[in-house]
Order: sequence, then structure tokens, then C-alpha cells
Amino acid sequence: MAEQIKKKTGNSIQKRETRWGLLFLSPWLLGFLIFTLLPTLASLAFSFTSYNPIQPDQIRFIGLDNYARLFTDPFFRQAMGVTVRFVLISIPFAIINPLALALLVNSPHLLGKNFYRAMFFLPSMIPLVVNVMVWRGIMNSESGWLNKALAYIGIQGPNWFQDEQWVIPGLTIMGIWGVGNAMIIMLAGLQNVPTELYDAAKVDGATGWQRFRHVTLPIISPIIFYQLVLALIGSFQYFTQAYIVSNGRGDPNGATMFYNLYLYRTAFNFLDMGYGATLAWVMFVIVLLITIFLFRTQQRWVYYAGGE
Amino acid sequence: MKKHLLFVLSLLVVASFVLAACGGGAAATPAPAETAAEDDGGVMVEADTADTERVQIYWYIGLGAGAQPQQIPLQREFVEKFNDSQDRIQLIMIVVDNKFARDNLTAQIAAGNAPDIVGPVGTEGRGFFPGAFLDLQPLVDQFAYDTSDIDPAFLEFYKDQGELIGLPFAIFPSAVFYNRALFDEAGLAYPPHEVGESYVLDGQEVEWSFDTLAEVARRLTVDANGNDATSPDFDKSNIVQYGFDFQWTKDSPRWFSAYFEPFYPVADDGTAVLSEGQVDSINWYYDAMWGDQPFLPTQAAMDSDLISGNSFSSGKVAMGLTHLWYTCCIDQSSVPSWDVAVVPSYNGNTTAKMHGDTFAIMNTTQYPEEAFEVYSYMLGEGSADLYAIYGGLPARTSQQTAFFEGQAANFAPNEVDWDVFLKMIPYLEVPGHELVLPNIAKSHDAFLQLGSDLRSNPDLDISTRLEQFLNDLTAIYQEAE
Repeated sequence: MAEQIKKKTGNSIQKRETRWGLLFLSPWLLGFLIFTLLPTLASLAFSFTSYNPIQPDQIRFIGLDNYARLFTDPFFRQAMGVTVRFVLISIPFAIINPLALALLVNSPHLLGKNFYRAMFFLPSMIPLVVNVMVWRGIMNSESGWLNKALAYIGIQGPNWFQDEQWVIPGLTIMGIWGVGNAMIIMLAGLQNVPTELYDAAKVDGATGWQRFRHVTLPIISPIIFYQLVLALIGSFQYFTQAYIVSNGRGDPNGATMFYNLYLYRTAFNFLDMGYGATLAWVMFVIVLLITIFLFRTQQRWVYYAGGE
Repeated sequence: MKKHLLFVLSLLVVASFVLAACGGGAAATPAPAETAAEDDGGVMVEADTADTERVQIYWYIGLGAGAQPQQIPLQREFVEKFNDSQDRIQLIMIVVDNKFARDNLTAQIAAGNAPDIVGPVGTEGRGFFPGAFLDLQPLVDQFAYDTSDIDPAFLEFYKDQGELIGLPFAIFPSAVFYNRALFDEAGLAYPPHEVGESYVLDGQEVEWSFDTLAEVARRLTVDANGNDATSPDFDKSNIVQYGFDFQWTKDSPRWFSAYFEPFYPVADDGTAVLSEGQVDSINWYYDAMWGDQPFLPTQAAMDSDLISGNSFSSGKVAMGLTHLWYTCCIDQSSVPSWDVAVVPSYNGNTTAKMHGDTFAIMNTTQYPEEAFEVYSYMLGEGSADLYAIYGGLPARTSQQTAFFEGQAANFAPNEVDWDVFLKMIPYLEVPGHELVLPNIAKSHDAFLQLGSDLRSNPDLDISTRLEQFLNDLTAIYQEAE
């Protein structure tokens, strides 16, 4: 009897706690429902229609026409090509740069480590738009100090943001400034490598490179994997910098027509919201598939000390 | 270690505050093309308190002029003045940064939350919202609105598909703005103030044409060593002063080509076509930037510290061909002595393209009569205030003298021959360069991309690029059929 009463009391306390918990969570739940889930579902519905936001009363269900259009849309292919090219160029930088900086500021031989850590991190605190405006000045082919510095050593700097060949490398260089967050995460990973492993490797006669290759890299591989997934998603969603640099048009000559920029123009400039929603869902599926693929590959190269 | 980490974190927190503070300060320094409406996507809605006793009329500003930081407080005063003048209507202004205004208005219309009045806005800006504006003719008739001192040609100019979607408010004729000091320094005569008047070059009287302008501009373009563009020693990679620019009228080739030859780029069969004059203008423009003797700033030069986006006002560009609205943005400390001259001719013909701004009432308004009452105030009793804010020449001839007196006072002691603008009105282009194209958003964008290519690519094969452009444009037109 006493046990039953105890059980009942326990249940009612649990229920009450659940109710209170849900009550406290309800602002977030409502927010998620209204501002994220419903618009997401609405965009899926729009992708099967000819929705034009200025003429909402003329919306028509068109089945899979928008999805079929992807196969004949040359701008879709162009935007995907620009984005993939950027992903291929920028992802190695997004992994190698912060790792190199983290190694540098973790080095016992570096004087003023904290100063450098703060300095490397600081640019990532600057709002993205300001960052782009500053770099537009730095990389201006006529008055930017980057080309002036190159000229000083006898190199004719390119026309960074007006040249089709140089604009993507230019954007990649611009992105180097914002590696602070990734560097801090890499640094945390490096500081978690057990020192006894290095000691053991030294005793075995391992060189610095061998210690890095066979001790550091495997131990921080979960961090690298995490950065890789984030960088991949970020690169596929690249928009703000391209929008500002290209005047929202993919200048020069479509070289910066990133997928998200094309999506934005389709939906908001050309008011083809149905097709815009289709582009958004296709991007979602592509990124999802690549992420799943990456997760599948992690068994081969990511080391989890405690197992997965 | 912990101590060090805490120290770094504290340092970062402090640095973030410092950066945030600096960021705020930087944003508060307005560039000419920016607005003060910086809170959320550049949108600012102003209403002290909603007055439930009154009908609320929302006035949307930003599609055209009006979002410049210096204009916002003046528009606020205008709104207060109107609200104090009567007790039936509360006017509320929504100011949106011009860069975002089109998207923002689209979103408002889509959400069923469109404003009542939009403007000032030009033909092109209105063209992006086909069918969204109210035909004002029934309201003009109902209220017996007096249009007797408006040129009937202007009334036609403001019609869209036969519907009067705006009443003539302000017109902005074009002229060549020139920097007297740079002409004096080069020992060149000032450009003419009368259409048909010759220009004196090397003691010879020559026609004031685009060829002459190009020659004068070359002599006004100077490199860091002081050589002008006609000199064999001229270093075109190191230009410190340019001779000419299509001041803020060059993003689309459709804009600057209208000075050469007005032409509607749609053939009878619905394909895209450019006139010979338009092709000539594009070649002229390209050569002016990338030829052996360049005199017009490229995109990189526009973005450089030398010009910073506003060429004539930088004091480093001797001539700027543009509209009357440019008086908004001349920095008198950089260009203390300037004047205006007539637009040069092309093949013996002078064409002064014109902008015509007005306000439009959205056809979704619940209060068309009240909106028209505000509209009448804007174009009537309150118009003098608005002309002063936007720098537009009143479409009503009876108000033009007072407008120029105001402008003269603004720029004193510099003396400007304001009559030049009046002299350009008879040379208004027909058809207009803002006449709505099929599939306007995409076709306009195609022109902008062509313009961007011209400004950025020194190795362009113009005829190949134009061929590709016309194919693309035809496809865009046909998409809308």
C-alpha cells in the first residue's frame, strides 16, 4: 500500500515537473513552431506551386514542374558550379588555417601566446558586412594595400573582385580573417591531447612531424571532423559576402553567382517564390546527403578514444 | 593555465565591447547612398502613437529618393505638419533603405500588409510592381483636382498602360555638371550652356558632341606625373584625375545610351534589339574606360579611395553627366565651384533623358479617398517642402521659379546656371529609358549585368558580348509570354 502511494506520488510529481518543464519551454516551442517549422513546411508546399508574392491570389499547383525545371535551367548549373568550386577551394583553407594557427598559438616556443590568440580571434568578432567592406578596400586593385604591397615586391596584383578568375580566390582570402572561432576549437582540441602520448612517442624516437602525424592528428580528428561538417554547410550556404561583393548580381559575369545568391534572386528579385523554394529544398537535400556521406566515412579516419 | 585562459577570455570580452562600440560609431557616419534607417534591414516605421480616432495612412519611402539620412528628419517634419493641419488622418512614414526597398515592399504586399502611398518613385521603380497601383483618374475626377498648369505631355509621361498611376510631381532633367577649377587648371573653355552653341577647342569652334566631350575629357584626365591622357607619356595605370563620368547613370547601358539615342529595345516580333546609336554608345563608353586614352573611371576606380563611389563630388572628376537630383550629393568642400552645361549631341541630335518622380497609391489601400487627400497635400500645399527635400523641379510651371531660388540659396556663393535644366526639357527622350520592358525584373537585371561587365572586364569583345546579351534578353522576354 505504502509502495503504491509512493509510486502515485512519484508519478504526480513527475507529471507536474513535466508540465512545468513544458510551460517553461513553451516560448521556445511556440517560436520554433511558428517561425521555423511552419515556414519550412510552407516552403515545401510552395515548391509545388507557381507562387508569386505580389500576386498571391494567382497561385497555382504545378506538381513537379519546378523540380523538372532544374534540369533545363542553365543558371542552376552555373550557380551549382560556382558553389562547388568555392567549396573545393575554401574547405581546405577552412581546416588547415585554423589548425595551423592553433598549433602556432599552442606552441611552447611562442612568446606572448595569449596576445596572439586574442589577435587571431578578434577579427571573427567583427560583423560580416563590416568585414566585407573592409576587405573590399584592402583588395581594391587601384588603392588597396594588398596590391600595393604586391607591387612593392614587383608583383602586379590582380583585379580581385572584378576578375572572373580571381574573385573566388579573393573571397577565400577574405574568409581567412574569420578563422578565430575554428582556431579556438582546434586549440581546445590540441590542449586535450594527453602529454603522456607525446612523451611515449619521444621515447620511441618519433620526430616532431611523426608526433603530429601519428599522435596529434588522430586525437584531434573528431574536432577536424566537426569543423569539416560546419565548413561544408557554411560554404554551401555562402551568401552575404558574395551579395555585397557582387552587388547582388553575381558580378563579374556570374563568377560569384553562388547557389544561395541565385536562390535569393529567384525568390525575391524575380518573385518566382515557387522555384526559389524548390532551389532551397534541393540545396537542403544535397547538403544532407553530403553530411550523411561524411558521417559514414568517419569510421575510417576519425578516432574516438571512448568509442563512438 | 586556468588563470591565463581567464585572462584571454576577459581580454576577448573587453575587445568585443570595444569593437561593438566602434562598429556603432562607424555605422553612424552615413555614406551618400546609405540611410539612417539602420535598425532592422534598413527599415524604420515612425508613428508616435496610433491615433485610433483617425484613419491611418502609411507612406512608404525608399523605392526612389527619401532614404538619405539628411532627408529623413525633413520628411518627419513634413508628416508632423500634415498631421497638425487636420484631425481626420494620421500619416505614418515607413522609411526603407533603397537597397532593400524593393524586396521589402514585395514582402509587405505578399503579407497583405501593403502601405497606402509609395514614393517618391520613378517610372522604373513603379514598373517593378505591375498592377499594384491605383488608377488616379477616378479620384481626380471625383475631387475635381486641378491639373490645368501641368503640361499634358507630363500627364502622359506618368501613365502606365493608359492608367494614370501618378500625377506629375517632380522632374529631373539632365545636364553636364562640370568642375570650373579643373577646367581652369587645364586651360580649357567651359562647356556650352545653350543647345546648338559651339565649343571652343584649340581656338576652333567645334560642335558640342560626345566626340568633343571625349577629347576634352582626355585633356582633363591626369596621371600621377601630371601627364594628361593625350600625352605619349601618360600612365593609364596611375590616374589621379578623370575627365568624365556618367554620374550614377551608368549601371545599366540602357540609362547612358539614352543620351545618345532613345530606343525601346523590343522588336515588333518580341525579340531583343539595340539601335545603332545604343551600340555606338556602348562602344564609346567601353573605350572611355579601357581604350589607350581612358578618361572615365572603371569599377575598380569607382571603388577606390580616389573616388569612393561618388565621382564628381570627389573633386577628381571634371565632368559628370546626370540628372538634377544629383544636387543632393555634391560635397561643396571638394567641389566649391561648379556649374552645369547642356548635354552633348550625338549625330547632330541632343537628347536629355529625364526622370519623373511621383507618388502612387497602392490599389490595396482600404482608404483611397483619405490616401488621395494626403496625395493632394503632397502635390499641393505641402509640395514646396517636398521639392526642397528631394531636389526635384516642380512639374507645375508656376512653382519652378521658387524652386530655383531655393537651390541658388543652397549653393551660394557658387553660382549655377539653373536655366540649363529648363533648356534641356524640350530635349526629353522619347521613348523613355525607363519604359517598362517585358519580364522587367529579369530584363533590367540583364542590362545591369552587361553594365557590370563593361566596367569590370578589360578584355571584352563587345560585339560577341552584345550578341550573347541579345540572345539572353530575347529568352527573358519570351519567358514572360
